[in-house]
Amino acid sequence: MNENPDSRSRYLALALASRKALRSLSDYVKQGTIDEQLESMVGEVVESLKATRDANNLFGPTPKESPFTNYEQVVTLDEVESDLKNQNIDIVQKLSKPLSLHVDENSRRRDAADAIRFFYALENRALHHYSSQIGSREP
Amino acid sequence: MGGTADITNDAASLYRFVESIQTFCELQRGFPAYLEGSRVFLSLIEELSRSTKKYSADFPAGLPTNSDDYRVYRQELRTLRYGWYYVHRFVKPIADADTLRLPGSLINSLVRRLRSVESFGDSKLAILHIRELNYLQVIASGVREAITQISSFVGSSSSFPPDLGLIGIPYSQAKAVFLNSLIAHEIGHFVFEKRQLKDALALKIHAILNSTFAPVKDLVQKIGDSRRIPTAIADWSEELFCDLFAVRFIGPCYSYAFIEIFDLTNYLSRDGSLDKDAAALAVEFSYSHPAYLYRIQKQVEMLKSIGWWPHIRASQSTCQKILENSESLGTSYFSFPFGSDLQKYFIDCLDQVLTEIRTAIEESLKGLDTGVAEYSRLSRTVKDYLLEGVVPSTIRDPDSGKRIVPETVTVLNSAYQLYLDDLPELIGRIEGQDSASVEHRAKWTETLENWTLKALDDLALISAKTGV
Repeated sequence: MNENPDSRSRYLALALASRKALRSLSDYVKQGTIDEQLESMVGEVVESLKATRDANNLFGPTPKESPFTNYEQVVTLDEVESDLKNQNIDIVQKLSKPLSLHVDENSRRRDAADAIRFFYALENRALHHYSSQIGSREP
Repeated sequence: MGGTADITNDAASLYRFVESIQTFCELQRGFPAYLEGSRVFLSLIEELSRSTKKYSADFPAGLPTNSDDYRVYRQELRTLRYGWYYVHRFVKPIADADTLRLPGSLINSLVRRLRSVESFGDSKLAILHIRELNYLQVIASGVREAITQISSFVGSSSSFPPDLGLIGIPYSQAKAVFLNSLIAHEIGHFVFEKRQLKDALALKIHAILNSTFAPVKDLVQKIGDSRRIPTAIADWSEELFCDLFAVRFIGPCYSYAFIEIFDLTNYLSRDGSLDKDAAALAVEFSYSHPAYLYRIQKQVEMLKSIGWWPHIRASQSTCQKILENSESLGTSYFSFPFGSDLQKYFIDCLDQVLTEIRTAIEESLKGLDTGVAEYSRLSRTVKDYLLEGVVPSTIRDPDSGKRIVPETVTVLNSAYQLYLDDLPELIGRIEGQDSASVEHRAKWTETLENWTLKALDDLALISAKTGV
């Protein structure tokens, strides 16, 4: 792939955003709190994945400040989505469903399990792409 | 418990890595003097190092017992480490760029000009030295994002100041003025980011893309990966924004410096026309950047639209020839990395996006004088001063005879124009110097740049005194 000089920072931004989501999900599981940033981030991920699937959209998502919209990020999202699909998890459908305010931690843990799995895999893959470019270019 | 020792080891490794950066930053507190923005950046990194060390020390205590949670928890260290790797790349280049190794008066003049624009009144620049002879690929948004996120993960109270921009200049160009006109492009990136123009343009790009390419949907679907197109268009748009911003901000000296750094005058034939074989690669867009000659063509359009063109067109310089040749290049010459079938559609698409970009530039620089009127009135006088070896900090108004202070844009462009057109005249006035000598030309170019820097220095002092 002919890499853009910005690619590294885009992979890193994706990893950092995934970690942010994982922290919010951890707070949800432990404390039952749902923060607005998590909801908005999940919304951006779903929007990006849907734009990629949309047959009427010729190009997929258009890059914004969101860390889920640049080409490298879209491709990484796609890779993780496909992996999960192979495990029979439709992540768009799972993420589109809002988290519920369960009283007990185990229910919340079950509710958040797929999202945690997704963001963990996304962070992991983004870090991998990022690290594979270390040393390839200078700032 | 299995895993705790591993985690402790990983946390200690991060601790040591960050501590080495903190120590490095602390060492810079003594002798070197820095621009305000660089000082702010180094202090921020020091504080972030301290917070990350505390976070690392506390990390093993939070280790979950559940194995699924364990791997999720553990990966956070890796993300932080990579975040720090990224930030690490910027720390030494900024520490290296102390005020003795910078064209400080030029940078201060540009910052002063930027601060005169509404909503940029508190802008600061941190300067970093880069190894490549390139100004055009240092994007601050990545480091801003990394620092902001690291800061939130480790619970640091410091955050990346919204008015701080990062600008990279080649380490060897500390005393240069003309080539450093390219800094204006980097200021464009800062403005683009601060005004969140990526988001603002995204909706428009989306609509333009879909409407422009709708008639050739089948061709688009034949491209290997059409999802790359929006990112390419967005990247081209940002680069074009920064180019046109720079021209609007400081005038044609930006275009001259652009031509010089990419050696575009090499594409001229002996008769001054464009050698299209030699320039074949300069008309190709890459995934991340528009073609060099396309960028120049758009700069010429900007120079014309804001009124600079009549004041530079008489120049006989090779730079001017490149500007003229680029202007007359037909759109069919440009090629795109997505095959030739869609060439026309990319041009149409960019034409529409450029309309939005020009509007965004005018909105970003609302109220900022282009400097053309003053240049047209005073450039001859400024050049005459320089030809006499007099620093043009204050000059005689050619109409009233009163002593006046020219603006940065006038000084910069007059000096650059003199360098391009009249250097032999300047050298010819000096005994024992020969304009045909490469060494003499180099020496007097440097002297001319020093006079220009001195003039900009004086303007800063006068400005500080008068509060203008």
